[in-house]
Amino acid sequence: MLFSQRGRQAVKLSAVSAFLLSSLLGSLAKADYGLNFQTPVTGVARDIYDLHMLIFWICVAIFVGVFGVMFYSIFKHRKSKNYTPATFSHSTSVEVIWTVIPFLILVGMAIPATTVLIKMEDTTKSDLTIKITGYQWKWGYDYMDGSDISFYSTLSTPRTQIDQFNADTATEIGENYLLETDKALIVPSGRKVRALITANDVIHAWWIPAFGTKKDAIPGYINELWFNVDVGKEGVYRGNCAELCGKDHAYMPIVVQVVTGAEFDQWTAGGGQFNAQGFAKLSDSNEAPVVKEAVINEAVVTEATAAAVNTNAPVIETAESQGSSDLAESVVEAVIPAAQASEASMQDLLASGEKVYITQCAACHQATGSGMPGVFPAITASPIATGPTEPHIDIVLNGKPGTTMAAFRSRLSDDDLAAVVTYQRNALGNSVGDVVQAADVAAKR
Amino acid sequence: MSNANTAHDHHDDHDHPMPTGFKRWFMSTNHKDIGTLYLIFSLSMLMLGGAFALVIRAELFQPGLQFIDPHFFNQMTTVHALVMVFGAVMPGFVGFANWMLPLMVGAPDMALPRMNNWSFWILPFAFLILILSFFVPGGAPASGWTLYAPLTIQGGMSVDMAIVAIHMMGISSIMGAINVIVTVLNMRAPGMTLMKMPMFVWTWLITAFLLIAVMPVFAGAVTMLLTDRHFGTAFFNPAGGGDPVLYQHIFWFFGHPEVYIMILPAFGIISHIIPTFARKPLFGYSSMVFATAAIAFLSFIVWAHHMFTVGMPLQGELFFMYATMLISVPTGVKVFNWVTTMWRGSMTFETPMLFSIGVVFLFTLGGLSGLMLAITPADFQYHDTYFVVAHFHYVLFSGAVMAMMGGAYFWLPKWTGHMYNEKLGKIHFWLTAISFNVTFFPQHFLGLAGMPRRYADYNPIFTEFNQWSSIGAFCLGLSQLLFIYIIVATVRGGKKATAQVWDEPEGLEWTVPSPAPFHTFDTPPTLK
Repeated sequence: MLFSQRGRQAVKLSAVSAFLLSSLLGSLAKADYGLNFQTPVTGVARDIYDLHMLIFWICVAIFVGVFGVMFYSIFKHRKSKNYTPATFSHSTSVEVIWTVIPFLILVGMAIPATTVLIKMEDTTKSDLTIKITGYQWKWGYDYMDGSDISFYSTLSTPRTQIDQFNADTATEIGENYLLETDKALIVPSGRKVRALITANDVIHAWWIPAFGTKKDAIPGYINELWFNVDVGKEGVYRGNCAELCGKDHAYMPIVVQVVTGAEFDQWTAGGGQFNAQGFAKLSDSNEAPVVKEAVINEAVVTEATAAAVNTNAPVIETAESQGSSDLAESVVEAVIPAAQASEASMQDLLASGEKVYITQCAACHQATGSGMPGVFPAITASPIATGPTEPHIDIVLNGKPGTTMAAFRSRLSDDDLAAVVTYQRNALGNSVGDVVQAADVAAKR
Repeated sequence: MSNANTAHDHHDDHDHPMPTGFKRWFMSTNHKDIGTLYLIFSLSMLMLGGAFALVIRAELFQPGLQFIDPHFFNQMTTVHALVMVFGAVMPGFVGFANWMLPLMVGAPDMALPRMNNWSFWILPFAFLILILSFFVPGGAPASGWTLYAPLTIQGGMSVDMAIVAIHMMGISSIMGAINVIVTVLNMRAPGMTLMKMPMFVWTWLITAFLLIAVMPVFAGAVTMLLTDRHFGTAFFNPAGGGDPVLYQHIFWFFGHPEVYIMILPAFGIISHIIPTFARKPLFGYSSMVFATAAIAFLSFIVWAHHMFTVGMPLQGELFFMYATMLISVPTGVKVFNWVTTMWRGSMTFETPMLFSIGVVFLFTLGGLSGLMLAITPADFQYHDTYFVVAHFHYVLFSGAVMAMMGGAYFWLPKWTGHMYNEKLGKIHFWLTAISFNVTFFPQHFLGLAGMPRRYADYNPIFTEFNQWSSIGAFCLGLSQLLFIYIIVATVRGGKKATAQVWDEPEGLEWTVPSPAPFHTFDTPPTLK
């Protein structure tokens, strides 16, 4: 042939081994980088892990067998060793054997796989049901068993860690980077938790690797999954959205805190309070230390509570803002007539509006209000945010169908909606000068 | 190109003088020129799609956002896939079909030469529209190449441009497929019965039927998307009573056979290369044909294994798991046949053979991870992670693309009349194979450890494997510049190739001179 193979054996051998080594390269890396599934903490996850390892070793055996033969042939049956080629071209018996044997191997794989699958899909006899809703880009959780606990869970990693474009303004990436939220889903160990999963806008997927659960959250559908975390495995488990859902797909993690059954009962009885780290607040000793957090928590009230509190909420809001914000100190002394006592001042609305804006709006419209041209409209100088108030309140309440703009009707209280609309009209480069009150929002509902 | 001493040219000299310039390349009805155009187009798209991939890998080199925002990242993953699937792999195989099918069946040209011209010239405009979508407000489509609703219903006008581009690519593919079927069924040399056809012809014939069956399905899906977006229908929009999962079912009814559209011709190519360099006939020819047909049939009944997590009923999940596992039987038959073809051969390891062995080895690795993915309970964990990304790059890059590279080296001497530089070819193979593994092998671990795909950013625990992957990707990309250099150098000159090129290869293409004259087989050859 064109090139003699002789005298090049050493070069070729080293090339071949480099090739094989490159295949194994990953496994030589440090073990703590995670080469396999995360440690399972539910029965189903353990079954999946065992199944995965069984199939893996069968595949390794097939691979080694087939390529053992191939590489033996490559090293023995070569022209450079003057091997005379055989002339056979078919053998019915061999063909039948290597059709039937793989089929039998497959049957051997299918049996345990079927058993595990049937177990996974059995959502009956659950002790607790939680509704999980995917939003762009956060998760909503509703406890369905009468405790009326309901909250949203958003990424808590600071923007300065994420934006590494400019080394001067960026901060160091933390340990739980992109795997931390302002509020964890709290579930008990040793109880069968059933989740009903849906979405509000596009398709998401709820995934906790250690639980062996992943299910799509699809608007218009209610999917089911279940998990039962082993007693003794209480702790924090982290997962991700696993279905492309737009720009911030990578920024809507899932954090689950598993507590004991007794602790869970205590938590639900206490109305589902969270501490500053976003985990279950179980007793006074676990009190949230930072006042600021309490205000942020206030931004996400349960729907039921929100409705109940609505009428007098502005007073509470005003009081809190004055108590916690320096801005309040500089409020120009104004005699508020008794009739308007429930109305919030511009400064108060701007202060709480900014917080709502950052958590609810900034992912798309950006912290500066500039939006992303062609994708997310700017708030700055936008016709809606600088025009009459009615259409502005309307789009925030009801969203814009067919776009990423969500309806915040059920996500935010009247106070928060009033605050964020006022903020958008009087900050971010806008200065319309008008003030939207909770009552204005309530009138539009 | 007109060698006066060949019988084939005698006819052209007074009948069809070879056109030149614009007329030759833009108005060509010659299967060889159109094949060349397809191959050049495919290679350019491979480079463009590769450039998009390098943007992705650059951003993923470290956690945090260093270069691009997540919206642009999503555009990159989407357009990388669309360009690679519809621009690089599919037209690449059509290029091989155009060049080789008439030569292999002893036909003077493709059956429908004018349609052949049209089906090529649609493609550059389709991709022009797709690429121009980067410059409209909101940028290119960012919803993944699967264009899942309702995310695409939110998208900007780039989605509409992508839909138009997909329609054009679909029309091109369907016309190409019709041409292949008509040529193969009607224009074989006398005596070439179906079961005497070369394997590449067989695999392309079956691929062409797959194309005709599923491209219209995809066209339907994106058209429904278009009407949902603009004409108030609600096929997929839940707000109007539509069903987002319906889109996925329709898409994957196209999408899974599409996977085999991209791999069956690759099987065909290496079924020519391995016997040539093993100096031994292909083992189990008829079982190869039946295995190909079986894979094609099964490809229609496994689509929902791409969507196990959407919440199908248990019975559905079981059916699609069993059907998917079954595909490994005919695929296994093919692998065993190739290995047995090598067994007791007299092998040499020129570049095409190296690529073919690489394909058998690495494609099988991807096939076995595919078998793992078929196991539904485990798939719930693998789904939408980097494990899947690793899997489909093993079957698509080290399956389809490396088979095309092997095929290019195998037939380049026939196309150009020159031998390529063997030493450079081997270097190209080893660079490609090693950097490919450095890029994609660590992604298996990333996926198992819990890194979802289509993520612009990740927890620092995944950093090390991502860095290996990014380094590998840049090496892989740069190695392909060597491929281009080798091709250009071979076109320009080099050792003259004989008609046979290799050691007694089988097939009619080796009976015509190298380079193959502009017109071949004006009179049908007689089969031995």
